[in-house]
Amino acid sequence: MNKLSLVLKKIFRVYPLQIFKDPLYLVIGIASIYIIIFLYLPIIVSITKILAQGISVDIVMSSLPVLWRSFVIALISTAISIAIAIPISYSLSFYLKDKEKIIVSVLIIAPYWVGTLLKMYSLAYLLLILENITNQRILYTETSLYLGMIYNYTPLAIIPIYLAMERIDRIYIDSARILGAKTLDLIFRVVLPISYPGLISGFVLVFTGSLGEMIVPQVLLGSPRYMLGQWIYELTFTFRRFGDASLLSLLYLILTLVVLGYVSRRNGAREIIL
Amino acid sequence: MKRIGRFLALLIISIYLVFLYSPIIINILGSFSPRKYIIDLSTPTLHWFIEAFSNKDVIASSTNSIKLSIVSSLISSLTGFLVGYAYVMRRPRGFIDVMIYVPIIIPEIIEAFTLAIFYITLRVEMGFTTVLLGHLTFNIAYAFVIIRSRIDLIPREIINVARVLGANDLYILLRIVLPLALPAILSSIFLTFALSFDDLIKTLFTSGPGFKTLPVLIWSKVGRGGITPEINAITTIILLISLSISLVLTYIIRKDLEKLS
Repeated sequence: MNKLSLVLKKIFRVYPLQIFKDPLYLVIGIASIYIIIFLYLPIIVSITKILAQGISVDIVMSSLPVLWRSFVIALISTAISIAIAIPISYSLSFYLKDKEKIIVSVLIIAPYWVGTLLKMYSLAYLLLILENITNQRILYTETSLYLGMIYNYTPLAIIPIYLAMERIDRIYIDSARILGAKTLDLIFRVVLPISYPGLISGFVLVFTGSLGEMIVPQVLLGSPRYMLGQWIYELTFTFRRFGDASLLSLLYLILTLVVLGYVSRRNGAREIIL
Repeated sequence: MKRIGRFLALLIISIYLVFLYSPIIINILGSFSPRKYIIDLSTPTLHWFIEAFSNKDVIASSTNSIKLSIVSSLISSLTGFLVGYAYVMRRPRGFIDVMIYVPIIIPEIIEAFTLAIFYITLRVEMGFTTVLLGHLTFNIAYAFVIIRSRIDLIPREIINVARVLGANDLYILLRIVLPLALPAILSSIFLTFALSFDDLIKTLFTSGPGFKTLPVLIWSKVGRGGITPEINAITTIILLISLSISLVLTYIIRKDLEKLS
């Protein structure tokens, strides 16, 4: 008994015991353990599923078109979202008064907190109404799919680009103007090169997010198994192929972490959220 | 020149805001229209709301949603507050990156899928608790981000003075930090409530057959031919709640951040 308490004392004297002595560290420790159990452990468990359940060649082969489609759709929607986000961020940052900036940026960010399903349902409803007015097929086409992707993801591109533009020292703009730069020159040769980090984080956020999309294709295209997110869901709950689904989500996770790791070294994590 | 620029800028922004808000506004208006798929507000009606909420499934899943979001928002905001305070006082290295940044930033579908596999492996019966535990991971992260930035605004002198005068950590927490951080805690409660209430993907993966929330119910009905005035009525209510919460609170948070910088 004595020996045990000695051993315990020895173990607990070392640094980790600070956690138990200091309630503040204890709080941080408990929260961390929670996140580890419910975020990191599941990821590890699903990786072990790849080995335990095995991968079927058939399913991997039939995943390829889904992966390719998701990749193309994500790339195109990201490009369009960035192309829309640039003029909006530029207008917002360089032409609006401070008070207007707050109001507009709140209006742009607020829908981000509203669930994707609700926004996509609303968009589908709007398109249906437009269909009735114009007598043209819009809903359940590629167009409506891209409209949905752009609707959902453009705010995520605007936020980092706008914040990067806000950080540009206005002296550069004034000197470029004095030296005779036209607005387009100013945008392409001064503003965009300086706000490059913002463009990259916008690109990464939109691309990684849209790649695994599940709600947008389901609601606006009306076809299941079209993009990666839907396919993972189907594999899990319809086919119960946990190994294959784990493999796909692991690849997706690695891609996301690699790209995001690259970005987060440049920008704070913070600006992405608020 | 400058005036034309400003005019163009305002035009671009207005067009975008119209694009962003017209689906939401049309959906809300449409739920009061007596005719299907045509917005005719000459005789607005509550018919679709009554129709929608006389359905047993809708009532059951609304109750589930409300319960889930209240519990999840209260737990996560309390945790976010305690952890935010502990973080500001101790600043452990790497904590934010690994424990807060990752849950927010990795795609929700990965979190949802791996958690489902985790539950399936453990043979846990899925229901309210499994969904709640899943929601807490992202809600704690958001609550932490919101509340910590407010605690950071509290001048350190106040805390130091209190400490010199003999206050311990608990006293400082309850009598100084809590009142000063209260606006952020309230914001966090509302925002995490909205996040939980609107969440589909994580709920769908971790809820099992017995437990349905409102978004899961809507999800099971949308798809081709799934747009009905009843669902408009349901989504209108959720949209009105979550959009007003997020508009008011992002404004408050923005104002706070303004002060910070």
